[in-house]
Amino acid sequence: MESAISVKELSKTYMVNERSAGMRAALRGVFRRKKKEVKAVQSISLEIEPGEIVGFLGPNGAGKTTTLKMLSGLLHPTGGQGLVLGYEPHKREKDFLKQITLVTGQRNQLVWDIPAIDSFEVNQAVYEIDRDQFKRTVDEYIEILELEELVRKPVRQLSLGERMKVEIAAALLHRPKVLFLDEPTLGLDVPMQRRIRRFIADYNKQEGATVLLTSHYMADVQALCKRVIVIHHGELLFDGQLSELVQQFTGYKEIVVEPKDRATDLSRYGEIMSEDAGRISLRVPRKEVPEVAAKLLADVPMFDLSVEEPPIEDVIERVFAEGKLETSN
Amino acid sequence: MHYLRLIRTYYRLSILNELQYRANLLMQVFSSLVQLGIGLAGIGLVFYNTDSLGGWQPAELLVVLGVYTLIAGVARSFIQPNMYELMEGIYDGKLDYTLTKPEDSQLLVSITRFQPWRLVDVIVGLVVIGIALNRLAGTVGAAQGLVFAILLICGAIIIYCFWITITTLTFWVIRMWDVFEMFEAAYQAGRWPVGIYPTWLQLGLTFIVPVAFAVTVPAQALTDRLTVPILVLALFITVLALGASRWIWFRGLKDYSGATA
Amino acid sequence: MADWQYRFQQSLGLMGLMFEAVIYLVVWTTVAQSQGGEVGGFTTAELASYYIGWMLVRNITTGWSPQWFEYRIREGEFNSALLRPVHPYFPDISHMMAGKTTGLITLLPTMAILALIFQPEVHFLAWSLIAMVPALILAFLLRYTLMYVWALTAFWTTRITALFELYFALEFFFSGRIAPLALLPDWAQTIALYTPFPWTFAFPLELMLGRLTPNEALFGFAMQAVWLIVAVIAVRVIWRRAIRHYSAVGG
Repeated sequence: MESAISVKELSKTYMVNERSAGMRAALRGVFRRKKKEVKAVQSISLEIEPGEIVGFLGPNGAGKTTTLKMLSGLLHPTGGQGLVLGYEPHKREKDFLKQITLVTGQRNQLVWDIPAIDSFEVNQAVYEIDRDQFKRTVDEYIEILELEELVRKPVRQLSLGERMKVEIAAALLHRPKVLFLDEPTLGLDVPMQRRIRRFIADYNKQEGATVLLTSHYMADVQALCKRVIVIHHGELLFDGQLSELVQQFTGYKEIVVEPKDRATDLSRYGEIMSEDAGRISLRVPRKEVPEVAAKLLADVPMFDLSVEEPPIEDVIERVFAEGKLETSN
Repeated sequence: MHYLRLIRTYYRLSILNELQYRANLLMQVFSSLVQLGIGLAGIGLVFYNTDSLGGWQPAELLVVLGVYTLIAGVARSFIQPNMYELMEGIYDGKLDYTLTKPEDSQLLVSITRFQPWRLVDVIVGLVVIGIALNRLAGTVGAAQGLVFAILLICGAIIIYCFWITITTLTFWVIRMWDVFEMFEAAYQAGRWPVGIYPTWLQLGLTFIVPVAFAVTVPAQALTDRLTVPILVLALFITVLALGASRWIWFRGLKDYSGATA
Repeated sequence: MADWQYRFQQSLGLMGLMFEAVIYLVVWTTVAQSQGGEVGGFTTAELASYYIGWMLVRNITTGWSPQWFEYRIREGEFNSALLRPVHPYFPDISHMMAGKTTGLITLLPTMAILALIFQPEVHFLAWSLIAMVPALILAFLLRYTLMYVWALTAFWTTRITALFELYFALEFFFSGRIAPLALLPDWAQTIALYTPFPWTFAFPLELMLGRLTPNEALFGFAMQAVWLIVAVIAVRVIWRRAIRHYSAVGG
């Protein structure tokens, strides 16, 4: 089967004006602009089959959004090639755009002052959706997402979560085959996140649509994606099943200790990850956590102790620093 | 045709939206009347002190005022709201949403916002022109009227092209607010026939800030001052402006999306 | 988004200032030329000097937009009712002065260029020029206070923008901005003298140009003082009433 998304050595390099601080630098900048090359995305290659839901993971500035923008036609790649449904996205052909959709968390495309239902009408005209099908789709989404009362209120009167529901409904009115979702659950409370995730999962099953999802939240990824792609510093670090990566993450946990004596050496309890304002983070294999925590509580006078899942950013940093993925024990 | 349907959809939406704010209509009427008062008082003051302004009679100046008000109404209802939205969209990235839609981007950014209450100025302008023509003792024929209508449309188009070009510059220059201010200030010059200004200023008001084509030239059509060369020039500039503004728009988009080729 | 039309119509827009001065300079010069080179006691050269000086006076006497006033007053509502800090009437002058100074840096060269183009003629009088300085300061204060009085309507209505449009329209004619007051019909000039407007603009301008006799100057200062007192009293009275109204209703 033909890939839905086919990316070969995709790159994006920006030329940024380098501006150092100070008056002298500013004056110099008037005459000669020093340009710095920023490699946002470096030679990424991947293939995504129709109907897959793929998670893009990575910290801020890793290149996820840039990749998404290149695949949705908003940015021209500097090198390599990306094909979505057989189209080159940056050509922005009408037939291509009719089959994709872009949803960004916390930024609305719905018109602020008017009821969402009217914005839906606009989408119908823009995407040239057949009248009957449009009605059916709208009714369906209203029922599934419980939008009955929400669609007639001006969008500005809705809460963040309600707005997101309506946004997603609007974005899927034309039943696109490829969904680009950039942090869609950002800032939402947990029940709402679950609602949205379920909707996306159902849509994917029903329509066989391909979904590219970027997120900060592991929960999003765990709920929706079998396959994840980890991007850091513009490079593709990992492309594979989530279960593998999950093992990597959950192989370890972090114990954060705030000892009374800052100078206490805790290295024999676990691997020291970081030290910040008297709070020391220890990396401890999952199985050993209860034991180590008990020992710490008994031996070390402290203000506070907590057990946390390692943040994605730290783990990815580590993965990148090590240049490979560790397998868990 | 599809484009007409699209335009109608967006405008219908804007109208529905603004209907909620009926108080704004009163405000607009009040504002238009105050501005009209200023315009009339200004003309009155001029003709208290003289018989003709650069060869223009009072009734003819009324025509100028009428056209000025009308074009201002068109700009403030159809054009400016979109340009402000576009400028913001470039700053905060909401333009991306427009760009993912399967429609001509220039069309989309030009029709999303429409403020119907500001059309009051168009009505006021037409009324003033009507009264002025009456005063001019019916020297206007059907052909003249047609030419006038065409030039009005050309004027509106040229103003649109000016605005979208200026707004497109936001892709490269961050602070366009000052330029918008400048335009509003320069537009005031259109209250008076452009011919009274020194040549250097006339050139600026023709080619840099297109006040002359927007206001004076249509007024010339109704006051027997229009010459064929000017008419031809107006039509030519309209077509040129449309092409140039579209070219600049896509140039700006290219830059925005980082196309190096 | 605030009403942008209004924002830059009345705020410190230097471009607007320069354009407006040049436009009306040209209009009245055209009128003068058709009347044999003079209108209302102003030759074309004197008109040029009027409108170039106009720019300076306009720059000094403008300050804040109606939105700014409205904001201050609403803020002041809460502060006065709760905490009694400095009365919102007293704004951050230093901030505004900085703005004016940078404005002058652009304005003065522009005035010089316009002088080269329009060939003004002016007979400066030393005492008159000196007197212009306090007149400018008083004009600024007077205008600010008047706008404040007008803006106090914000306590009772949200339609402050419309009211200000009316205010600025009247000011445009009666303060000597659209034309030197001498060009107004007699009845209009009489009306103007009963309003505070001439003393917020035309008075310091004519002092700059040396067009007033010492007696006229003294009269002018007196009027400035009188109107300023009236305006300040009005502010206090209305403010007190408004606060009472506000605390009784809202609190």
